[in-house]
Amino acid sequence: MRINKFFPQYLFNANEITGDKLRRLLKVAPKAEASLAVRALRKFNMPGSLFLEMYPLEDNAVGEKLTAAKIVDEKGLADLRSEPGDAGLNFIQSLLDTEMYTPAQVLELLKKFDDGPCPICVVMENAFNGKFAQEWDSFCEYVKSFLDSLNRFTGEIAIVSDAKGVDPVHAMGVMPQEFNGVSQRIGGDQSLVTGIAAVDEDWCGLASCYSGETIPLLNDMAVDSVSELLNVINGIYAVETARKHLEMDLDAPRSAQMPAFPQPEKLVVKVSAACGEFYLILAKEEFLPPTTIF
Amino acid sequence: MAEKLTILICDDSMLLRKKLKDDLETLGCEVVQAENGKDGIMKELQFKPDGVFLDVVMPEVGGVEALRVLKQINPDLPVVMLSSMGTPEVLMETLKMGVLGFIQKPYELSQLEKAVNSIRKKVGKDEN
Repeated sequence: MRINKFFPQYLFNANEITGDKLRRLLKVAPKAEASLAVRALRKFNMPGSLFLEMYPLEDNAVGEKLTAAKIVDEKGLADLRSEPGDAGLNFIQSLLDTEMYTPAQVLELLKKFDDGPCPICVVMENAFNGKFAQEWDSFCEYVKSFLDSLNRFTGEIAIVSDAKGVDPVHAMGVMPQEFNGVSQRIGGDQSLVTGIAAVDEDWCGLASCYSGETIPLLNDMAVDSVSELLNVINGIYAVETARKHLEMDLDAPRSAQMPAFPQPEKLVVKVSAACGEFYLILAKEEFLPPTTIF
Repeated sequence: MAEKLTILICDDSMLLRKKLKDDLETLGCEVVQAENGKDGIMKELQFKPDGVFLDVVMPEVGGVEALRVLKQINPDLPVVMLSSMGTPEVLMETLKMGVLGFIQKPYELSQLEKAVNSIRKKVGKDEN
């Protein structure tokens, strides 16, 4: 059964969970430890009824049930126990721990998630609304890669939280002028400019999350941390894309205050994570002013 | 006991330089810092480090250009590229220019340790 870090996005898209409940879960999920029953649910094609039987049991008893049902042998069981947890498993565990849903309800939701399209693509399709026809594939892939890398490098599970507000913006800014921004051009066979914009508090939250240090004020280290986060995320995207035999290169990141106008056409994606909310920006051209204002 | 290595780290990210400095000092190295390729070249001439950790994407003088100059100054200088930009083209180009290795950011301590040990061996400052 598919259990991955995009399940929270599915729940949000399908209105199966409120924004507040999801934010609470995103805060506790990184600390959750997936039980053997949850790990087995993902790894093995087993009946839902067996999961419902196993879920209330301690891991040892779960292991005995799995081997008795010949779903796994002793070696497989040892491997399953020792596999590291990940965002997808931890989120399911926290969903069950907080009792927001019963195990049966979680199974039902997972089945719908399993059968459905990628939830990131769904929310992006709503946002595009016919614009960026040529860039759709690369923008979608970028957002998936961004969220995946954000989780890898910070431990944060993030979702695209504002599907309605995600419209390409022309001359009018969607963000007030007090938003801080960082941008980086990804060039080569695919050309786009991506960036992050946030108010001071959320910017510092993201910077603290990535750096592993508390950065309470918007200072040079705060700016540099978010710039470097964008840089490594874009580096991973460039490497992934280069595997499709495309040449990629990166410019150095730039930082400035987000301008209200004028701005090139761009896609603005609101991202919510436990460390804060920020905007992920995708454009064909640079959207920050030429001078660094921070 | 192995002799202390002097390592030059050349990266435009303050955060990366801070983390890398802390980790290299834990591994028994002395650290010199540079903010970009141009600064890196100047620091190489000034401090004659045993090895260099060099970023690729930097303002002013980038990593590949800096590598070219560093290798002209000292063809045997051990250089490890530490960069977000680990595409096949960059890997090939820097390997052809004689780098000791390439680490994709973000790095793990074990990768750093391995790179430091390779530098030690190359400059003859290991325990053997």
